[in-house]
Amino acid sequence: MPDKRDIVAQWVAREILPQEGRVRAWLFRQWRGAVDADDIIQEAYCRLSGLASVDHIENPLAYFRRTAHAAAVDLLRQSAEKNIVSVTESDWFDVLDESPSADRAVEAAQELRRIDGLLATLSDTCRRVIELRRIEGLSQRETAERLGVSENIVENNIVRGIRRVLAMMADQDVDPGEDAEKQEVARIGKLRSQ
Amino acid sequence: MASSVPSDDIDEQAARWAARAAYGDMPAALARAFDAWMAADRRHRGAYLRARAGLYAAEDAVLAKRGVSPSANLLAGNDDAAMPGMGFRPPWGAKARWALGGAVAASLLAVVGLGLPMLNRPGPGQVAAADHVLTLADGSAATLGDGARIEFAMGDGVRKVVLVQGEATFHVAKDRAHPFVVQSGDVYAQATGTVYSVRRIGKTGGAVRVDEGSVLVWGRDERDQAVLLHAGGALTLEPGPRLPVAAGLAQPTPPAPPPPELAQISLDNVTIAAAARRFNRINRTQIVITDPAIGEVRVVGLFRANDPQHFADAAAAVAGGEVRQSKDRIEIKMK
Repeated sequence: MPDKRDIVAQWVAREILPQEGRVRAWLFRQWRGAVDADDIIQEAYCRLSGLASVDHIENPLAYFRRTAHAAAVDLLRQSAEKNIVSVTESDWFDVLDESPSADRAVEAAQELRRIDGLLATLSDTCRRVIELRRIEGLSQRETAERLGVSENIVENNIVRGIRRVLAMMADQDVDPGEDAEKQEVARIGKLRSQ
Repeated sequence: MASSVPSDDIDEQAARWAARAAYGDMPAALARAFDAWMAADRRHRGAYLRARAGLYAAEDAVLAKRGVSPSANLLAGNDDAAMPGMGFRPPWGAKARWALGGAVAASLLAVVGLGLPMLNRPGPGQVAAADHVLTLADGSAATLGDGARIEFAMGDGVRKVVLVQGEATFHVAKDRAHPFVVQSGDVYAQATGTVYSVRRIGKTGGAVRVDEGSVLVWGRDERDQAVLLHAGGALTLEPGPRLPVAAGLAQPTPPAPPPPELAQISLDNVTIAAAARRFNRINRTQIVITDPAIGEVRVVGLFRANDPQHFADAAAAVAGGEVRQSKDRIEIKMK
């Protein structure tokens, strides 16, 4: 019986990670120096980790954006910059890039590139370890034996694989300077406009 | 503000814990250390979730390349007849991942039944047409009636049979990852592991009869309106002639509804409003959606066609509304 945490982690892997780069870019454009995008993302994941189930989440990207937005607002409140006014969620959505649904063939080609990109970032050993563990069902010790390395090395390869995949996800879809800034976030001394 | 521990270190720690949890051993002492680490700093929890997700992403990519469906397909809305209830739309990525993993090469076999000239000799693994039974490349068996003709192809994650002519009964080899679809004119009948018959009717129609298991039936591109037939159920669909494009959308003849006990309504990412309309066509008790916002929420799920109450409860739960019942009405409104 899969662990509840597994379900959430798998959902994050499929629905959230691929969007992370994009969300980082938006956060950077939106908040600039006011709050650090990395801190916001970190806090957002912390909130996601509290989820008991994901069945109720209809639109994962929107959910992640809302979570990140709330995290940003909270971090801002905690910060020393009392004179910065927070942006309402609706302001933010104006700026969001709702990319049109692409042609299936184009999406398929993109997905293929994405998978190949992920694979290229993994070491051969890491790939083998995953295949042996997940497809052939070997234990960690059996895997190490089969590959002729220590269990430590097996673990190290997985760790590196994780870090590389995450680094890749963080950078995806980042195109800085896409739209001209329409919304000024920090209005020092002014009231929030409606 | 940020503590003195650089976040890079946190990510490294999280990756190590994730690797251990998934691939290594966690004896009691280590498990305690893990709990302590998780509790030590708020950021550890988020980093750990991200690291586990990163590992799943790596695994998915490796499995896809090897042509293996992602293990523990926990997220896909499944068409398992035994599980009514709501799910969420399977991520597009999951479907495409199988199609691209591509362990199955597309191959087209044209098979001819009795009474017509043999165009292809059956291959070594196949039973001769003279026995009326053909073994398809995936292990399924097709029993052809007189003059029947089928074409079989595997590709894009789907096992597809085109019933060119006549009637055939299919014993479908169980393979949940690859739906088996029979096309008769403009009628489609899909299963995962069942025994069912399909007969051509006119140019665009088909009659489906289910002997074992469950079969999803729909006409043209109305898969979101599909009806799920169970053993003993039968359905005849005649979508009617296809109108030329300029004339607008073809209006298919509404199918004679199968006995309600044997039918389920399959919702594949349709709006609650559209789903309610389908229930209302079949049931006396009408579902009324008071707040349009609820009507616009999209849902995935499988429901008994004659139980609008169950659907209304589930829809309300998903959309954040509530259900109010009166004599012949079920009302879904915002809380």
